[in-house]
This record gives sequence, C-alpha cells and structure tokens, in this order.
Amino acid sequence: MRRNYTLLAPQMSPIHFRLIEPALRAHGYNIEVLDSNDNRDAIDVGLQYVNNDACYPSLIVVGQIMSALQSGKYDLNRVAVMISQTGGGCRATNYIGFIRRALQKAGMGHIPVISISTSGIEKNPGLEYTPSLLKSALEALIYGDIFMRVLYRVRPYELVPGSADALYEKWNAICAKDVVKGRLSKFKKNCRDIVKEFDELPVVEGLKKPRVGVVGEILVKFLPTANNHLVELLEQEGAEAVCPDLLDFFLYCCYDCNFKSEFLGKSKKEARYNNLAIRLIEWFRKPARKALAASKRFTAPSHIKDLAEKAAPIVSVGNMTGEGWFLTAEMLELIEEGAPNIVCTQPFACLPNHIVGKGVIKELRLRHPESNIVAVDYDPGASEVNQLNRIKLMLSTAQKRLNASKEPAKQ
Amino acid sequence: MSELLTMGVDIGSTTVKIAIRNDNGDILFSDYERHFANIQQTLALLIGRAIEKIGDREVCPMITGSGGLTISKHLEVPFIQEVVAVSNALEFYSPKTDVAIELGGEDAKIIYFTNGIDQRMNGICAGGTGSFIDQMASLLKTDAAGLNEYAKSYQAIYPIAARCGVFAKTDIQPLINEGATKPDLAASIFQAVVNQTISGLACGKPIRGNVAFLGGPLHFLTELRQAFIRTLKLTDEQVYAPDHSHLFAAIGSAMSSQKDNPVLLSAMHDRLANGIEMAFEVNRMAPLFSSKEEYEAFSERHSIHTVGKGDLASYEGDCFLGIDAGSTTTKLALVGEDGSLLYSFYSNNNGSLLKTTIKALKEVYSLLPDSARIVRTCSTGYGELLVKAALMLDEGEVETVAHYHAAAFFNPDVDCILDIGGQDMKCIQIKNGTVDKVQLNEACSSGCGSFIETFAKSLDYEVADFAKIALFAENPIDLGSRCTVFMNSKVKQAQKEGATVADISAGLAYSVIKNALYKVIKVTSAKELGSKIVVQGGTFYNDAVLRSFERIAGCEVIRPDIAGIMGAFGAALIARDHYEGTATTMISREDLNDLKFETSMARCKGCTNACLLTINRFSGGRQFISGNRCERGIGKEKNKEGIPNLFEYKLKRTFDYEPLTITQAPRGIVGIPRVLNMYENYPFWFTFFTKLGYRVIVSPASNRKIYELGIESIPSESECYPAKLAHGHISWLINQKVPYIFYPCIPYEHKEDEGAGNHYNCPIVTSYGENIKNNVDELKTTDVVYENPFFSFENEKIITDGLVRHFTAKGIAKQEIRDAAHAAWEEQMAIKEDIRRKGEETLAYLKETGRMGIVLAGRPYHIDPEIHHGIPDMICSYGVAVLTEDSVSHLGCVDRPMIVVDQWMYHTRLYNAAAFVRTQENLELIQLNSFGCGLDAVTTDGVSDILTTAG
Repeated sequence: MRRNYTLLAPQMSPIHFRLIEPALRAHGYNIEVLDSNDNRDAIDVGLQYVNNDACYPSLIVVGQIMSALQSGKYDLNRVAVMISQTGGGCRATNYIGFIRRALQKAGMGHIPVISISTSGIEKNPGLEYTPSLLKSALEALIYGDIFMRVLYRVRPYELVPGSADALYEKWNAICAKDVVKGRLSKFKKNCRDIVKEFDELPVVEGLKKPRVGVVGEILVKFLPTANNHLVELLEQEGAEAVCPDLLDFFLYCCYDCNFKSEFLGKSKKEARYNNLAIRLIEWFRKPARKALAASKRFTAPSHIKDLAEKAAPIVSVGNMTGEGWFLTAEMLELIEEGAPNIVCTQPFACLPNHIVGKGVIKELRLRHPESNIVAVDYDPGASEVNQLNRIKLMLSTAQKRLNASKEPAKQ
Repeated sequence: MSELLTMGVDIGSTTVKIAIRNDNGDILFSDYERHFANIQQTLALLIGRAIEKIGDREVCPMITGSGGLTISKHLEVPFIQEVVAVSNALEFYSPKTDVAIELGGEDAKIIYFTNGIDQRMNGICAGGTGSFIDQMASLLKTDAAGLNEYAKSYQAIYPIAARCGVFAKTDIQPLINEGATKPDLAASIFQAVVNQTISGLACGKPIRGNVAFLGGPLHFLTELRQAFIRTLKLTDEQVYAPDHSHLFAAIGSAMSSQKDNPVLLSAMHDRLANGIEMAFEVNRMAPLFSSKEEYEAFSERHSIHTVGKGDLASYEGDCFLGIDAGSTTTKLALVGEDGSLLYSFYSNNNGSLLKTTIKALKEVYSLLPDSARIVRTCSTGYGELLVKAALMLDEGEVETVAHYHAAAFFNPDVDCILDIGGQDMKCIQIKNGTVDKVQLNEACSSGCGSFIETFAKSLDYEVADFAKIALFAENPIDLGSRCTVFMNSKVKQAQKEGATVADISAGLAYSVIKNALYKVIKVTSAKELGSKIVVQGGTFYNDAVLRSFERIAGCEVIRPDIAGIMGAFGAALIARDHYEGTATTMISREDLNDLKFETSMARCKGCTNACLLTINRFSGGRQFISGNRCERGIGKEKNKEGIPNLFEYKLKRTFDYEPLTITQAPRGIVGIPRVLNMYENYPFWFTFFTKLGYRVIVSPASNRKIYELGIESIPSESECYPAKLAHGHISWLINQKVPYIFYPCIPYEHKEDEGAGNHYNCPIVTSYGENIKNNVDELKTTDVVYENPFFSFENEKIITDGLVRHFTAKGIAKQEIRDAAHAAWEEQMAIKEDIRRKGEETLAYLKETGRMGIVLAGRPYHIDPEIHHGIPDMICSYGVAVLTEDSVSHLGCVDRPMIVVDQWMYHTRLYNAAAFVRTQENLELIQLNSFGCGLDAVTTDGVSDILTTAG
C-alpha cells in the first residue's frame, strides 16, 4: 500500500490534519487529505450516495471521498480510501459500510478501504503501525492541539490584526518539517517555544470577551465545513472560542476499556493495554502540558481520569457510544475553566447526544447556574439563519453576564 | 422637538412590525404588514405610514427578528436578538412573568424568567409555529382566522402530530377524508401546536407560574391561546396577554435602543425605497431552460403523448368508469370500449372525498347520453374502500396496479412509473409485466405537489402561474432534498436575500425531483430506474417539475397528457378488462340524487386500544366504518380464524407474569417501566426481583395518555417515539408511589449470533436510563429511589457478576443474588426458546394451510401496540400470519461479511430473519422502523441487500 498507492483521507480537523499529512507521507504513504472547503459539492454527492437519513458526518465523509474519486484526478487502480473507525454502538462505526456501498454503487467496488482504528474492528494490511509512525502521528496531533489552544485563545485579542494567524503559519511550517525528522528534544523545544511566543504576542490589554466552548460530535465539532465555520463565526461575533483537545477523544476511547473490563465483563488484558497507551500518550504530551501550565494565558488539558470523575455524578462512565460521557465531561471542564458559554454541536438527530449532550443540559444548569449552553443541530438542510440566531441568543446572554461581572469591578 | 424617539423594527419570517416610542414609554406609532418576502419595500411602506402619522422625525432605530440580520447590516442599524428584545419589554410591562411563550411565523420560543433567564427556541424544526398553522388552515380551505372561528365550537379533539407539518398533514388528511368536522379539526390543530410547544420546545422544563402569550398567532388566535391555558391549567391571574403582544418584539427592540446615531425617518425610507443590493447566501442552480427555443422543443416533444378522446355526447355503447379517490384530489375517467377517453374529472376534494366524488358522478350521469351506458366500475386510491362502499361499485383495485394499467396503455414496455401526487410519491418498477417493486414516500411527504401548492398560495399565486414563471427563472435556488419544513426555512432565507418568485418556484421544482430520486427511490443515477419511464401524477402537469426531472435524471420520459388522472384511467381500463357482460352494481342515477350520508365518530369498545372510528352512514341503512385497527371495530370478532399473530403472543409471553402480593414480598416493591430494552429483558428482571422477594410493578401498556404524562421532561425533540414514551412510563410509576424504580442501562445484549461483529444495543436503548435520571424532576423532589446501573447481558456469568456487585451494595447476600440471577437467566432463555418454537409452529401451520406469513421485523419494543399502531392485527385480518423477527432469526444465517458493520444485536436478528425469509416461498418481510432512528439508515439498507440478492 505504500509507494504505488494514493491514500485518500477525508478531512476532519484541518488544524491537525495539516500536520498528519506530512507525518504519514514521511513514512512512505502517499496520503492526501481531501480538501473540503467547497463543501456544497461534497454534500450533494454525499446525498446521492448515502441513505439520506444517515447522519451528517457520514454524508460529508462519503461525499468528500466520492467527489474526489469522480473528479478524474486519481488513477482508480492505484488509489485507496482511508477512514477512521471509532467502534462502539454509534452509527459512525458504519462509515466504512457507507463508503463500501457508495463505491459499489459507483462501480468502484475494487478500491480498497483501509480502516484506522484503535480498537481494531477491521484488521487491515494497509497500514503498519510502526513505532516511528505512531510517534510522528502523535506529535502531529499534539502540535495541532497546542495550536488550537493558543491560537483561539490569543487571536480574538491580538493587537496587530493578522499577527496571531501569521505566528501560527510560521509554527505550522516548522512543525510540518519536524514531525518528519522528529527528534524528541526538538519536539519538546517546539512545544515550549510555540506556547512562549503565543504567550508573548501583543494583545489589546484589558479587552474582555465572552469565552465560548465548542464541544460535540467529533466531526461536526472540528470540521469547519460541517459546523458552518463556527469558530470563525464566534470570533466575528466578538467572542473567544475554546475548543478542547482532539487527543482527548482517543484517550477517552482507551479509558473506556476500564469500565468495560470492570463492569461489563470484557477483557482485563485489553484494559491494561489501553491504560498503557494512555500513559504513553500522556508521556508524549508532557512537554505541551508543562509549557501550557507554565504560561500566563493558557491552561493545560485535564487528565482523562479526572474528566471521567467529573462526569460520573451526572452520567455514568458506562455511556460509551459516540462521545459518551466525554462530551458531558468536556462541558463540565469548560464551565469550571471560565467558559460557561457552550455551543454543543451535533448532527441532526445524533443518537448518543440525545443523552450525553442535550440530555444533560438541564442537570448542568442545575449544578452550575452560570452555564449557558446552546445545542445546535447541523444538517445539509439546516437553515443557517436559525443556527445563527440561536448562537446569537447564547452570545447575548454571555455578553450580558460578562458586563454584569465587570461592573462591580469598576467601583 | 428635542425629545429623542426610539424605533424598533421586528422582521419576522412573514411580517414586518415597527413601533416608535418616546422617553415616557408612550408608543407613538406602531403597525405591521405581511411582507411576502419583500422586506425592503414593506419596511419602507411602514416607515412611510409612520411619517404620515407623526411627521418626519429623528429616531434611533434597532432591528430585531430572524429576517432582520442581513438588512440591519446593510442599513447599518444595530441588531438585537429577538428574545433579548422580548425579555426587555416584558421586564417593563409585566415583571411578574415567569414564562413567556412566543409564537411567530416560523419561530417558537419559550423564555423562562424565574431562577435566571433561560430561553428555548425551536431549532431545526418549524413545526407548531405560525406557518404550520397556515399550512394546516389551507388544508381546511380557510386561513388562520377561519381556523380560530371553527375552533370555537369544537366537540372532540383528535391526536395530530405537530412535530412537523408533514406528519400533521398525514394525520389530518384521513380525518378530513373520513368526514371529521372542521371545528374538531381546528381545535385539534391548535392542541397539536400546544403539545408541540410543551413537549418539543420546553424540552424538559415545565411551564409554571405566570405565563405571557406573545407573537402574532397567539395574539390573533384566541382559541389557540385558550388551548394553551386549558392545557397548562392556568388561572386568569396567571395569564398575561397584552393588547400589543404581536408587536412585542418591536416594542422591546425600541426600548433596547442605545439612543445613539439618530436618523431621519425619511432618510431611512429613501434608502429602502431605492433598494439595497444583497448578496446570495443560498446557492443557485442552472436555469431550467437556457432559451425559448429549448422550451419549445421540449413542449413539442411532450405534446405527442396523448390518449385518444371520444365525444361522450355522441357515444354509443358500453362505457367503463374508473374513480381514483386520492387523499387530496378526486379523479374520474370514463372510457369507451376502445379505450378512448370520453370524460374526465379532476378536482381537489376540498377535504371531503365523498362529497366531491358524488358531485363528479352526478356530473357523469347528467352528461351521459341515452345511447351510452356504464357497465362496470372500479375504484382505486386512498379512498378506494370508502367510495366503493358508498357508491356500490363493482370492484376496487390497489393504486399501483391501476397506475400500471394506465402507463402500459401509453407504453406497453414501461418499466418504471414515477407518480408524484398531492402528498404521496410512488415509484413503481415493472418487470416482466408485473409490478416488481413499489417505493412510497415513508414518513415524509417532502416536496410533493401540495407543498408547491401551499407555497404558491403563500406567495399569492395560482398554482398554474406559479409553475409557469419557473420556466425561465434565471437563478433557481438550491433547496436540497430534505423535509419540507426545512425547505420552508431555506426558501425564507432565499427570500430574505431577494430571490424572485420565479427562482423559488424553479427551486421547488428541482427539489421535488431531488427528493423523489434521492430520498424516496434512493437511486444514484436514473439508469437504475429503467429505460422506459412514465411520469405521472398531478404534480407533473407542472412543466418545471417535468423539466427538472429530465435535467436531473438526464433522460427523456413520457408524460401522458392525462398525467393527473392516470389512476382513474387505469381503474377504468381494469373495469373494461374485467367486464363479462353482467350489469354494474353501481348506485343508479335516481338513488344517487337521493343519497345522503352522515359522518359520526365513536370510540371502538372492542378492546383497550379504543380506536377512534369514523362511521359514514348512507341512506338505505348502509354504513362504512374506518379508523379501526382490527375487525372488532367493524363488528366482527377479532381474528376469528385463529391466524397466528406472534406479536400478540410475544407481548403476552413477555409481560404476563403474576407478581408477588405485597405480603409475599419481604423486600417491598420495585417498579419497572415498560419501555425499550424491557421488551427484551423484562422476563429476566421480573424473575430476578421476584426471586429476591420483591413485588414487581410494571407500567401499563403504552398509550397516548402515558406519553402525555411525560412530555414535560423530554429533553430532545428529535428522539424516537419509543424513547419519548419512557418519560411517561416513569412518571406513571412515580404517580403510583412506587418507592423504588429500576431501569438499567444495557450496552451489550446477549450474544445470540457468534458470527456478528458485536452485540451492542443502540445508543438510546443503552443509555436511556441516564436521560430519565437527568431530566425527570420528580426523581429528585420525591423520595423515590431510582437506579439505572449499567449491565452487560453478554452471558450468564457477566450479568451475574454485575448483579452481585450492584445488589450486595444493597445488603443482599451473594448467593441469593446468584440464585435469583440464575433463575432469571433460565427464564430469559426459556422465553427466547418459546418464541422460536412458536415461530416454527407457525411455519408448520403455514405449510399446512397454504397461507402466507409476514415477518414483521423490527426491534423488541415494536410489539408495543402504541408503537406499531395495530399493523400486525391489520395484517392478520387479511388472513396472513404475523411472525416476529426473533421467531425465525435462528433459522437463517446471513452471509458474512456484510457491507454494513453488523454490530447491533437487535438488528443482527433482522439480518438473519431476512436471510431466512428469502429462502421461503410463503414468507414476506416488512421492516418496521421508527422515525428519527439513526440506526435504521444503516440497517434498512442492510436488510434490503439481503432480500434483493435473493431476487
């Protein structure tokens, strides 16, 4: 699968995938992350090939792949499709089924589909998880997470317009090189330096904006085309977006094995492996964590175990489908870290989010009266005006509270 | 004149409202006007009126409303979120308000004021709003005000879904057709809006205390307000309904103005009158025709598909009558011996199918010359049975067959018929001269004809003109292929961006076809449809729709000139084919003139279902009853012949256990809700708790009342119905003062099939207990103990370990738990075995009797009569046996690997059942699914794969 094949991967989180792409390429995989900026076309193709009652992420993923394959840009005998499978009782595990069906319908049934998963649902010879590859990929993810934290935190307040983005581009270029060569000491240094430079980027002093957390179904949360460029929108509307790490989602998946082995009779060995994986990932993330914790402006990510303990009083850690308890935990973390305003994104009629998203809003409000959560559904047919209106409503409450909190300080 | 005035402008989805206010809080001017998508001019008009009244003064403007966003940017006027505007006004006018309910044209909002402001707005669904009411009113041939008048004298209220207009229509249409009175329907529609607002919008937060009613619909529709007051049980003091409630948002935004940047009214007026260019946000598509020539070629090509017409007045001989009693239209066709069309009738039935049909038949009789006689008649369509009974026709035939007969007349080799009618859409595929496959629009009537009609009307257009202007639209809007309610919002958005009516009409034509192809028929290219396609149905009279089909499908099709009456024409042809020389039984001309009928409603007393029956009584003592779900309603004994109905069997087998009496139960009472996973695991839990010495109380069978008990606590309006029911069952248990409620979460089911990838439950079945915990207030406010632990049913050991862990914490001895768990496991296995044995018995019965059987495949909770709506009983009444998926799944084994990831246990059964059915001659499979069930998007494809590979 290496040299002679082009691997097409659907876009999910541009800020991360910009780095994953060079990381995998360096290991001999000719990967191409599909550009989904022109989403209308991908969505139309998706509607054509996927059962229209399927969820929005499936539509987008299949749409991206099929419109790329139909574009004539690729030699169909030397192309493969790469897709992640999270496992669990959610529809998303069936991406691969949707893709295979679409390929068959289009007469491209011969194109291999490679599944990437941590839980090993489909064993696939396509990709070899060598230590070096995993290290590069992990570094890419961690860089992406740092970027998301520091860029979103600073950009709304930057003194010189465009300076935060310019700094980000500078570092993105450096990191894209370093994930390839990858000395560990360089990685550590980069983590420190990125955080430092963003910590020192000149900002408008005293400017206060409401902080708005973005959580939700993983694809809709991270992919701007799926959430109608939510982060951009929030910044335009005078707020700061706070988006928790992508890596945490993987940690959440690993952590679930504990509940499975302890309460649901699943293998103890698997739980041990997964706990090992968590420790390994956390060890890698340590430089980032340390740098963030030491900074003035930023906060370090929570440990997954702490997140689980946070969520447990509201939803059981046994909620493991889709984002499961992790979604609730992220909302709690945001509320406690000063971003009580939250947009909870999900595809229209997302099943797990009925429970761990919309279902907990009431309880969260009870426990944290300051919480200000709006659940927004995304869907190819959804009206943007309505989404915008709901988000504005949340923002006006956020602004009101921010003003109220400022006033006594003045006196 | 130094006093500074503030002006609030509220641009809603249907109207523009303005209010001008001085510092003392006096409202100097206020007015509103429907904008018919022309916001700028409407606003200019209103400002003009303001100038007339108060003179050209300086005002500080503030815009609000869903349609105001874009225009506020262009006018450089500050914008305020409408809920914020409303709360500001309320804080001034009625500070004691606890909750405000505001309905607008397309928005619905609830604002809670107690314990911190909390606001709910409708998200993606516009059900239960003003436009919904308009849509429903047009079904009753009136407007919203007319609806209000009707509602004043209602007597009965029918359940109508207001979740979205589409479902409501499907609920109302049969009621209309069966003759429910308009007052009752009007009141039912209002009640539906109330239910939608309380269950859908409130999302788990009860409406209590002083309630303010705001917005146009609640201002003008007094009966709607009454319905709210009635349902919420409000006293007079608790109701706040201000005189200017429809202008409330405008007043609120005037109050919220920061009083800076004053402008002269005339300056604003001039800017608006000159027109502001606004950019498109909704995507545009290619025009339908690039030139006049192209259109002419198109018209030319379609003009040849005509049926031979005969002159009725001079006709001599036998003729044959076909009646197609559709849900919204009535069609008649009279053909001669040679198949030529002598007479046709096509009319909207205006809500009364029978009256229209009688009227049409009278017309036929009046035109019929003495030289001609009607010798045989046939009805088809939605009201086939009713019309056949009322007019004593010779026969009735199902729609699809009638359509095929008609299409074959135009092209004997036709292999695909696409029919788009008023609110149904059908695709009939034909193989070797027989109907091979029929696809209908399921829960959704997106983009059917009535949608275009409603839209045309809302824009003040006749349907025909509306269709015509589409042909040369320059930038048709892209509406996608989704539910009409969503399309509504998209159209509104396009209107706000200045799309012309032509663009909208053409966009609708495109979307009708996109829906038909991608949503209903689910094809990727038109090649899959067939090579000889006939399109028909009233909607295809619309040239724009026809053209869109050819454009999108990329092929040329036949549209008969009688596209709208093909069903009736087919029925007439069938009557002709079946004629054997006997005279028709149809009601004579004289009797027809004397025919009277009256319609009444009654509750069936046959069983607890208490179906609402519609009884049509005709002169001569005949009657026709509909609305029954089984034969008891029409006076027959239910399932007299003893045809096996495994749904009934399974329901009994699963829940008919005798609990311990309270004296026999040392550990007290445990309550179990009869929902979701309990339809699978109740035998286990019953046995387990009984062995432990609990008296087990299970909530009763679901019904509407149970559902309504729980609507206040449903957190998400797009959940499936079975999940929503859970709230009611829990509330029932709480009302019964059950001290301990046990509703476990089951992520893993018993692994029945080793070959399956996994054995999950769906996310809802898995975790619904969590939603109950977090959303049912009474669990916190009363001292009921509620437990929803997570267990895996993978095998006996795993569930036992889980139970030991959970119940030792309650102080029960390990061994006792183990013993109880063992007995429970045995019982669970026993019921599975019993159902399988029953399945085999039924198969043997079918073999013996030569009867057909249908595997009604769904998930365990589909045996809930409130969920399956009596489908199994109906099937049985046709002499067909009903089997459950788990009664035959052990007999089949699906070929693996499947394309879909086979990881949900309930569905693995489905796949295996389907694999079995395809090997059996005398079995068919119907898959039941719930609206909003995301898994079914995966599994229906999977099941249809298995079945179609069998051929």
